[in-house]
Amino acid sequence: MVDRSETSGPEARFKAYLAEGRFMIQRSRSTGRYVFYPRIAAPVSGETDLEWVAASGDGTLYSITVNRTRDGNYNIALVDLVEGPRLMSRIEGVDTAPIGASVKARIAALDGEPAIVFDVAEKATR
Amino acid sequence: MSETLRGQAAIVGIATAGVGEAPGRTSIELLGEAAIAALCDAGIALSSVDGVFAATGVHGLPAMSVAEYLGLTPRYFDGTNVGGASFEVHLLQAAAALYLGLCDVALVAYGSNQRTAGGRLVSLSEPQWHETPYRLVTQSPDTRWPLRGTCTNTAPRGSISPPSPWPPESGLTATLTPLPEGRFRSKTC
Repeated sequence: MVDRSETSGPEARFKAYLAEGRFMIQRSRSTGRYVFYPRIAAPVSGETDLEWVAASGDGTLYSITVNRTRDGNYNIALVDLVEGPRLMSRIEGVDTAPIGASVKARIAALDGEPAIVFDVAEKATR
Repeated sequence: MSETLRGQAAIVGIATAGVGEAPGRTSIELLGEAAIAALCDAGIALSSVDGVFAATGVHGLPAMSVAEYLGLTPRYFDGTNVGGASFEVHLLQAAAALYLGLCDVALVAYGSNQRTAGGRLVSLSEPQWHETPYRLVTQSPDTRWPLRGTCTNTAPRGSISPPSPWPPESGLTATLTPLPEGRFRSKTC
């Protein structure tokens, strides 16, 4: 259940939404600018009129690297959401993927905690 | 020489946030709330801040963390941590920096959720919480931010009862500018 109490901060709210299976990001009512990661004010400009909106989940792969370990390989990716913010994540199901690939977000469990991961979108694999 | 800085800078905005208990809010969130409120108090835009002075109990690189969180690119900064007196020190550093023209608007900021985070100082390691799940090779998996929603005893081990929590749970921020500061007179919020 999402804690919507007045005392709950943006980080706690984001995590609560995530636990409900919802990928929510912030948007300034006055400027329409999207903010991620969740904060108490928009960085640089400082607007505090941030509201929670559902992210489309659509993104583009900006950068990716593969960490190779004894326990297996995994990638770390930077994804640009169509809403604007760039976030760190992982592209699931592939070793790596081409820069610029279209990716789609979903919520997975990483180390037992819900987290945003991405899959390569169908249109990019054709 | 000892009075070179006297009357050369002024605190033009000041604010607190979450004083007392602030369950569900992180140290940097409390700090950010206080910073925005202090800028509001001063009538200065966040983007005008070009000096950052910060020290907290949870940030190893506090000036960096504050600049990152608020999206600032300060011309001058100081993260000297001398415990609870850090902010008096920062006032001096800020006044000196303003006097020398190293910055025009100095933000002195502090934030702590120690009371509701379990009453103990947490690790100074500060991975980005939203990036931790992806296991950057530079961070161990057990360095997540503690974020708990319950209030527990904040007494330091061995202290007498009833203790007062330290550091206080709050964001505390002052904004300084050089004098004269007529261009900052108008309140924007």
